Amino acid sequence: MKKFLYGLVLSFFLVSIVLGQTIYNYTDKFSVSWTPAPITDCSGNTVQPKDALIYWEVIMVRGVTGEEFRYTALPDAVLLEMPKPKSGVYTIKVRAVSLTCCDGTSPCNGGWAVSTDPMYSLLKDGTPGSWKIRFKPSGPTGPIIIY
Amino acid sequence: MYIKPKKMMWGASPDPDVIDYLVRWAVPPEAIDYNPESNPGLSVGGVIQVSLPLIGMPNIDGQLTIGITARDDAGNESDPAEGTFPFDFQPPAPPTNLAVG
Repeated sequence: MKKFLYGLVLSFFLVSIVLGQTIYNYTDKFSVSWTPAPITDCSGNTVQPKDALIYWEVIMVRGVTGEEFRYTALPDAVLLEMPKPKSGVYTIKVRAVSLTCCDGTSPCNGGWAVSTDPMYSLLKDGTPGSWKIRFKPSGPTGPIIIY
Repeated sequence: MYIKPKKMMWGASPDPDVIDYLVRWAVPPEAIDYNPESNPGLSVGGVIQVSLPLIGMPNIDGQLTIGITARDDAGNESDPAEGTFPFDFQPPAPPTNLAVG
């Protein structure tokens, strides 16, 4: 079993299709993308994410209630399209997950890249910045009827 | 004095996390203020039918614009459904010259 070591810090660049403590509003699905940091195995050799990871873990954290909606992406993915969850304001977190760390820990989780931490996140204009995503509730349907 | 009530109904929001609806109003040509800080609206609960006039509504004989938004458990509000309708919530003046012969 090949073991991998990768930095706790992922270079995380979110370039949403229509992305936003800038808050970006969405009504339907949205996508999140990222750039993996260089990954090395236990011998120090650089390896590709598809050879090192078992998946990318993407979590949406709903403000106020703290509910979490968890998704995974294939190891070679750098973008994930996600459907609208419950309405609310969400923080997005992404991390890499490998099978085993060099110290034998399994699974081997990378550090979180969080959308509210400008060290890892980009605004739509490509500059580092903190952002969240808002999904408004769907409004009343049909006409208002007075009788 | 009797004000004949009217009923108002709308279609429910399809979102399962909606907990109530907020009703706001304005007398045209004034537009409805949907800012929750300056005009929080009147919560009517999770129902989709109410009797009018609601508490705080003007006893108007004329047009009234009504806006309804859905609110979820986290306090987020939807875009409004809005319409302008004629109302007559003013009873006629009482008769005068009441006398007995």
